[in-house]
Amino acid sequence: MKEIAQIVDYLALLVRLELDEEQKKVLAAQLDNILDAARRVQELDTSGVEPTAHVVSSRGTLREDEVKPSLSLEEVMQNVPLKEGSLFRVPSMSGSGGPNGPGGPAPEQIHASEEAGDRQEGKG
Amino acid sequence: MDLFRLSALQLSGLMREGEVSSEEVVNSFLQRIEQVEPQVKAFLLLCPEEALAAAREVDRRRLRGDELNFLAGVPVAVKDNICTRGLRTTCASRILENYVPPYDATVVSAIRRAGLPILGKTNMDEFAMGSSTENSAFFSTRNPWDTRRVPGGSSGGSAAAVAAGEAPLALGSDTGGSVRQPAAFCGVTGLRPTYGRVSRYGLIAFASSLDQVGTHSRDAAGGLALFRLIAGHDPLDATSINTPLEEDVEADNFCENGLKGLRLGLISEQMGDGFAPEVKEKIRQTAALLEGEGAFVEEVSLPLTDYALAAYYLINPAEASSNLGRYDGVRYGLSERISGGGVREMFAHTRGKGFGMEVKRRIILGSYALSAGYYDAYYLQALKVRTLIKKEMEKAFERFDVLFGPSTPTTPFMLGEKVDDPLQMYLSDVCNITDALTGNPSLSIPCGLSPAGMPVGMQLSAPPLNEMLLFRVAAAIENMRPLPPLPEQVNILEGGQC
Repeated sequence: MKEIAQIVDYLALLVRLELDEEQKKVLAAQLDNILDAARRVQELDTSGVEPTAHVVSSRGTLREDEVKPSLSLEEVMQNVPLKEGSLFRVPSMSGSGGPNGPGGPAPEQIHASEEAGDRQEGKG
Repeated sequence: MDLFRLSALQLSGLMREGEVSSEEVVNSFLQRIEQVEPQVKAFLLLCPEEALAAAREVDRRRLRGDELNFLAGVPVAVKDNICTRGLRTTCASRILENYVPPYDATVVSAIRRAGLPILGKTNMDEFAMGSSTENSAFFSTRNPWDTRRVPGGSSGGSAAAVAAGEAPLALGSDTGGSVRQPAAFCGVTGLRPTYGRVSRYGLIAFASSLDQVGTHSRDAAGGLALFRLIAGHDPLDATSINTPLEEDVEADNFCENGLKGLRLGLISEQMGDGFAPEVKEKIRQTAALLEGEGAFVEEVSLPLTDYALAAYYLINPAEASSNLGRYDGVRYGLSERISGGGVREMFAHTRGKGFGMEVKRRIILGSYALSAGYYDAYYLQALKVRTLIKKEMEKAFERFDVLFGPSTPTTPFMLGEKVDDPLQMYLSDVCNITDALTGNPSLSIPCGLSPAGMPVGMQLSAPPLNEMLLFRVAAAIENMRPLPPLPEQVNILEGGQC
């Protein structure tokens, strides 16, 4: 049980998810239970079996590489919590020593054009 | 006449004949919402002004003699994880509480273009993670048949709205049963289409290899009409299938072919000890009805389906943990910044404040299944088991045209009954998981009421792209046994619980 509690702690840090002590305790107990049930998949012999990630095989239909109108910058930025013109305003990126480390006070800016894509940050 | 009591096709017929206007139809549903919503609590957002404006536009076009869509003027409710331009879309989460999408999901574009007024956005489990709608960050929806009970989930708001007569049609989403399980609990018809049949562009991502937009309707004909409207290839969704629908079948007479010679397999694993007797009884009665109509019915064993839930609860959280990485407080949604803290503190704090417990549970579970040292034993093994299950289903479909069984092991449970026990909650989707893993289309249909007066659902599954066959069987059953009327229980005020 102690081991699973440490795992929850470490995973929460990797996925940048703040949990209080009570939540960690509950999650550790539940994770143990759920994994017990999920371990059933290990009962089956899957040697030589290919994994299925997507049930429909993509035919790779590609569109023409044409410039088309898209959302305006204003629309793209309409839900940004804190912005300056076309820039996202965020706290210091360099000042933070780790997920829970000290952060520098100076805000930094990221260009919308670099960040508005499908990047998934926040995961370790 | 209470227009809200009519089905989508009855309403469409009256409007096409000029008997009623779309404005009158929308007004009838808005009045019904006003009457029952305090007890049912199906909607997170109501947009009566927009709905009436859309209705008046359809009425104008109809008077002008424009060619209109079959369903033009029939109002619809939309699950709150489907993006609606200019209408707040929250996923029932604090992290998206104030998110107003700058664009429409492709399915929303389709219903707007066809002239279906949107009544509002329906409640759900946060990020579609749950089976009771109790995981909504805002409030729980009630089952219109008994407001002490859950409507199912995660599309509980959509199913409850249709069941209570607050909307004739609704859009939901089904990742592992989230359309079919609440359809069964609320006594309505719920379709999970073939994976890729309906565009997911604008459906807020949860578990991408499983997510699919689906429909709730009072009857089979309404579900089919809405499905036909939203199905089709979309260049904006790379997983979208480019196969045309069967255009030869008209929506009004698609069930005339009957069931003679159809081979139906009753899944024996879903008729075992863990399933409530009153549920099994209804399924057996319906099987007998189908046989009486000339269908061939036989039990079939699918032993690997016993492993489906285990595989699903590794694959689903793994994909969720990746998809939900985008909520970081930078580009949209909640942003919690600590004085003196850096960007990493902002990420962790925002996510800690913005996500509810079930979402946190899945992110942790998913990251565990994907992490170094556990990846092969859990995630990869689950994907291989998925392959085995898919092969078993394909083999079964060599012998049967349709597989069927209960949609849920029990009738609706009480609010609060399972909310602290995630494993018990996960088990309530046990009948719905297999089709989610294999991508088959699957339809839950009303199968009568239990002795206690609660709806029982029957689930029908077909090989990929055979949605029409499912609706044909459903319509045949409706012909033999009329659907239950709207539940009257919701008319009894219970006081303002929430």
